[in-house]
Formats: sequence, structure tokens, C-alpha cells
Amino acid sequence: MYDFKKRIYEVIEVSSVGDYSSKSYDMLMTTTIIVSMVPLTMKTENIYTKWIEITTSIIFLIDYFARIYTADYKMGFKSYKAYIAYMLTPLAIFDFLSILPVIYLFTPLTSTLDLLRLFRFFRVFKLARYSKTMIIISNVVRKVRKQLMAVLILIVVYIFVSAMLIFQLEPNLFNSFFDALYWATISITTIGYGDISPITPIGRMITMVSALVGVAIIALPTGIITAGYMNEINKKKSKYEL
Amino acid sequence: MKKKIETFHTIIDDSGEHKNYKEINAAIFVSLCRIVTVILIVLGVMAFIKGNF
Repeated sequence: MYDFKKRIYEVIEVSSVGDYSSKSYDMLMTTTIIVSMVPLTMKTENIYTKWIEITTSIIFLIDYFARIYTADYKMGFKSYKAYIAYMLTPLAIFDFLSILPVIYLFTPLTSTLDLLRLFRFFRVFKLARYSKTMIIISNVVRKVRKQLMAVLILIVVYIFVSAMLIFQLEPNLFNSFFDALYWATISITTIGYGDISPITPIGRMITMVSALVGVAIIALPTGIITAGYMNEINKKKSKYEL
Repeated sequence: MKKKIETFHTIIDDSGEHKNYKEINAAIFVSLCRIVTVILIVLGVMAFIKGNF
């Protein structure tokens, strides 16, 4: 018997060899994601950007509901819990957030709703399904997330400590603690815009230490991700060699 | 006598003969996807030209 639901699942998931329906659907979704980014590159709207918004929103809505409909196949078990579990996965949440901006097409804009337009950038994460490279990167990040989280906490703590120190030592330089946090972030990442720069010798001393420590701390995530990426590539290589 | 061209395959099983429209449905779906892809590309290019030049 022809299983319609299973066939939808096979089409919307990444295509297997010889499945032209799935391949053309993947091509359609990739094009939709890329084209939906075009209005974000423009200051003003025109008739074409409006039509892009309408068309891409309809396609994303259909895709979202099709994925929920076939969530039991995706999650591997048949129960209402499969649908709920799927809706709570990161990609499903990104799918939902990327559909939200469609609201502004039907209701007048308020300042809150205008912020929803920014959610369109979540659509770029949908490419993770269709790009082998992004699948590898997301696998790597998932495997090293605990180490990354530890380093991120270290960076955040250091930024706060630097900001508190400089805020106390040079109170005239900053309008608020947020400015001090901004300064600490720009210093530790060695960007150094120069819009806020310390005047006193102690403030400058803290800036020097911050820059030196920042070079070491900011390089840690790069090293962790690179090591994880090399492990992933070596694993794939040894799989083919076996 | 001209042979009638069939647009479906006939499947014969224990319950009898069935018409299988799978291939024609797949062809329609693939064509639809390709048409919408082309429309989107055209819209994207036109929006880019109108917006930035």
C-alpha cells in the first residue's frame, strides 16, 4: 500500500540517490532560503521584495507543517509526543521563528512587530539541513559544546570583571556600566575601535592586561572548534578507508 | 490501429488491477518545484536590480 505520509517524509528530508522529487524539493528550499535574504540587503521595499516575502513565507509555512505532519518518522516513534518533541528541536524552533515575520504582512506595523522582521535572519540556519558542510560544522559544535560553554563562561566573567574594574577606576569615561561592558568586549577581542579609551595610567594598565589576556582567551574557541573539525574529518576518512 | 498511450502504470496484485499514478504525480511535483524555483530566482534578481541600482 502506498504510504503518502512516508513519501512526504522522504521528499522533505535530504534527498537520497535517484530521488528526483526530493532533489528538486531540496533545490526549491535552498533557493527560497537564499532569495528570502534579498529583502534584508535593502533599505527600502519594492513590489518585488513584497512578492518575495509573500512567496517565501507561503513556502516556509508549507514546509513547516509538512515537517510537523511527518515528525513521527523523523523522531522514530509513533506517538503524539513525537510531534511535541520535534517542535522543541533547535531546527524546528528556527523554522518557527523564521515564519513569524509573515505576521507583519497582515497587520499594521507597530514598533514591537517591526522587530519581528529581524527574525528573518533565522532563515539562514535552515541551510544547515541542505548543506553537507553545515551539517559537519553543526555536528562538530554539538560534540564540543561543553568545552565551548566553559570557555564562553570564562570570557563573560573576564569581561564583567574588566568592566567593573575600569568603571570604578575611570568613572568619568563611561556614561553607564553598559559602556564599560562595551569597552571590555572591544578590548578583549582586540578590535579596539578607539571610541572609548582610558586616560589614567591605571586605566591604561588594565587595558594593556586586557588586550594580552584577550588574545589568549579569544583564541581558545578557535582551537577547540578546529580540533573538533579535524577529528570529524579524520573519522570520515577512516570510515572510507575501512 | 493506433495504440493508446497510457499515462499510468498498471499494478496487478492479489486484490486485482490498480492504476498507479505515482510517476505522473512525481513528474508534476518536480515540474512545479522547478517552476517555482525559477520564479523565485527571477524575483530575487529583479528585486536586487530595482533596489540597489
